[in-house]
Amino acid sequence: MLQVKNVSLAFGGVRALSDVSFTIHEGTVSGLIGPNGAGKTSLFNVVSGIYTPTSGSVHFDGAEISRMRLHDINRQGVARTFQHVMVFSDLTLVENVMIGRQARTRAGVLASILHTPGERRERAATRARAMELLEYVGLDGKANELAGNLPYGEQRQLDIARALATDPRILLLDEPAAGLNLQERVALKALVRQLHGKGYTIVLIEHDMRLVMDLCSHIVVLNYGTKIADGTPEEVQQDRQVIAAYLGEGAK
Amino acid sequence: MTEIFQQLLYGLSVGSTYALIALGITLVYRGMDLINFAQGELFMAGAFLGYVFHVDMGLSIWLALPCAMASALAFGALLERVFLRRIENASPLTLFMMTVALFILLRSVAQLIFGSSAYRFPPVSESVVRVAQMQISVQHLLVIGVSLLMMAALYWLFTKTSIGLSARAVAQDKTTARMMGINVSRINAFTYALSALLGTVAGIVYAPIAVLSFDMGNLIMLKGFTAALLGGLGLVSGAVFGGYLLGIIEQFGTLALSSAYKDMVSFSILLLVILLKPNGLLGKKVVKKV
Amino acid sequence: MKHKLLSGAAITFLLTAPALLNDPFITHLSIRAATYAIVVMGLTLFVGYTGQISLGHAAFFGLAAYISGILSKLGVPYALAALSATVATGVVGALVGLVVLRTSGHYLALASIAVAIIIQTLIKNAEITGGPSGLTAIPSPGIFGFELAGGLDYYYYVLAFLALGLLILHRIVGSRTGDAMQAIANNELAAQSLGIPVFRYKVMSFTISVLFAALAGTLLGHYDGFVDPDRLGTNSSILFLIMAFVGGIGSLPGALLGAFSLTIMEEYAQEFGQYNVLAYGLMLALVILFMPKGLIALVQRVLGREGK
Repeated sequence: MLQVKNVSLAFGGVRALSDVSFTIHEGTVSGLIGPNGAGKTSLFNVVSGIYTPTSGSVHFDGAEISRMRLHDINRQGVARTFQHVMVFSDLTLVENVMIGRQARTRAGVLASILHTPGERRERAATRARAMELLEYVGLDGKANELAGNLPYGEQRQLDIARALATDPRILLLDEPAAGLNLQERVALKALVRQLHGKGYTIVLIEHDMRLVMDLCSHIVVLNYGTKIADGTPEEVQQDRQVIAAYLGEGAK
Repeated sequence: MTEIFQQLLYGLSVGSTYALIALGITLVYRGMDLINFAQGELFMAGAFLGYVFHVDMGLSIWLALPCAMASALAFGALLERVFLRRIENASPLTLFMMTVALFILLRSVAQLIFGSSAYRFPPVSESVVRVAQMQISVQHLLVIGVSLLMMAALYWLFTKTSIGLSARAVAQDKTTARMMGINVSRINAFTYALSALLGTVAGIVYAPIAVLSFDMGNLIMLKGFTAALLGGLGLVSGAVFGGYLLGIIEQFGTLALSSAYKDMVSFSILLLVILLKPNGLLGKKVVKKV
Repeated sequence: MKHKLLSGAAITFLLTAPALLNDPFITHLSIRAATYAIVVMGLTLFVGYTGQISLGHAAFFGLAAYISGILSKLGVPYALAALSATVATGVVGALVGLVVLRTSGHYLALASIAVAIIIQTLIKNAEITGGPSGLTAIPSPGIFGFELAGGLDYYYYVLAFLALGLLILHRIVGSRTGDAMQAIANNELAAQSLGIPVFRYKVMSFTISVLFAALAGTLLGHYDGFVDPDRLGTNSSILFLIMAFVGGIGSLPGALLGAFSLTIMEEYAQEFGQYNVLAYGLMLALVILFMPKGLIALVQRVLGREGK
């Protein structure tokens, strides 16, 4: 479903990614791991359109998305959450999720001004779907609170709900467990499993190894911008290069 | 050929003023993350300060200048304390609007005190220096000289004194500087005081060769911004470079276009820089970090 | 919901107060204030809701006044002249937006100043505009043979546009379009990652705000019968922005409040001498220091207490 082909990314003198290639299959939960600075977030940025690769290409469902604009890539079905949660802090939770529906709704400014029946229906449907998604992540009780007032863990859940509102086919979650306590991590795992059950393809960047090994059927390992391993959790756990990368050359 | 050099000299003189203003803007931008819309009014206020000391109180210019400079420092610090301290952590828009408020307040107070008419600020010397068929008045040379002196003094201040070092730390990373025990609020007062000082010195040497009125700061501020952007916003070298470049371009522009369109030259340049090279001619492209 | 009530109350007050007071000077002031309010409402959409900045709106305000005035003097009937002027200025605004909205923050602020000054300089030096002394003898509007020469008639004429504009903006703000704009104001990157074409919306928001300013310009131009290049200057643009800010930057009723209160304040400050501009500066500084959400927040607090 998602094919990364020989992607390289360089800024000035810094090579963030070098010739990275892998494939993500539909309906799987995959993990993207690696030590800090390995280029994981940069890879997500390339796939979601924030960066254009210096060379190489990214294909989603057969279409090349590497040179598309950010908002168009989202409309293709690629949704992502961010490492530093980027909720709209001055807007309420339900407004946040409603904005997620922007890519899938149509009412233009003229229809809005004229308040046409079509616009009114679409608006009501948007609000209903947003509430549905909030319920799904368990935040419907706080629907009218400002997103900025939420505790960190709940902001992450909001981020996911909002990403789901875009009707994606693939979800890129950037360190969804960062900053979460044990309880919250358990809830996150359950949520990811549920989403997997519903047919979403998921790719996670994570540092919590147990979470990754538990949830993912496929793992890609990056180090210093290059791919050093690609396979099942068992294969990756036993890969020498991976062990060296995480534990240092000394460990055998 | 001499015509070109003549214009170049005048361009350097005008450019010196722009450079000082651009420096003031850059310092506040670097140190306080703030676009100081009132920089031109500090220039105007400084020129009037000099006028009061020199003409009204009859002090010799060599005494009036340091008096005005000291007053400017105090005034700048006071402005920061009263208007900016309280909103230190507000949104960029709010901070900007406060400098807009200062812009208005300084202008209107000056207009109330001094009226709308133009004043004559006597130059240090009326004489003209003649070199090889070119001539330039001593006052113009003074503008260049004093500006260069100020820049050298600033360089010394920021590299050789402890307060300068603290100011640079704050400009780099406010939070870390605070954690290392630097009183950021006091550094902000220092920074704003410096920008007032720069404006004042620029105003006092500029006023004798141009006009002294409550309105003089308006255009200067925009030119200063253009210069700062031209060189690269936030770059000290950029401010200086941009100032001189703009002065020279403008001077040569007056040869080609009528004076009515002179200002349009600067603003077209401003637009071009913003659109094509927002990081300035000396700046480097900054990559967004997500 | 609260906003709607406040706006409604404001409109009612505006409808009745000048008529009751029946003082030609107050009516004159109200006409000015109402036209400014139209500009400020549009500015609120762009600055308050979309999170951008413009220090050049007076240029569009003045440009439309000039175009409408020139066309009218050439014999074009008022309605057509004013409409063409508004649309033409809107087009100019859209073109400007396409160019400058690629930047943001202080770069955008400076770019907007630069554009405005360029427009102002061109107008000041053109023959057809009457040059630096301005365009005079602009005819009063005539609608269906009925001439609007001023006074309460004109006030209600402007007020009609004000109410219509307010309704339009309310609808936009509460819609999908308004949501997108607010998302952009909050976090541009997140908005873009959610499929919102940010640049397109910025240009749309800017163009709408320019249209409002343009319409207001034609209204005031035909009322005064006169427009001069100073109207287009940075200082005028700043005053509009201050009105938006003092009223409450993210609020439509705030726009009305800011425009009316500052226009009235400026007038009375003038009684004491050249204090009008100073009053603006003081008002702005005081609001920022003590009422950062604007005067409208004060009003809401008072009403809120009474509601309980």
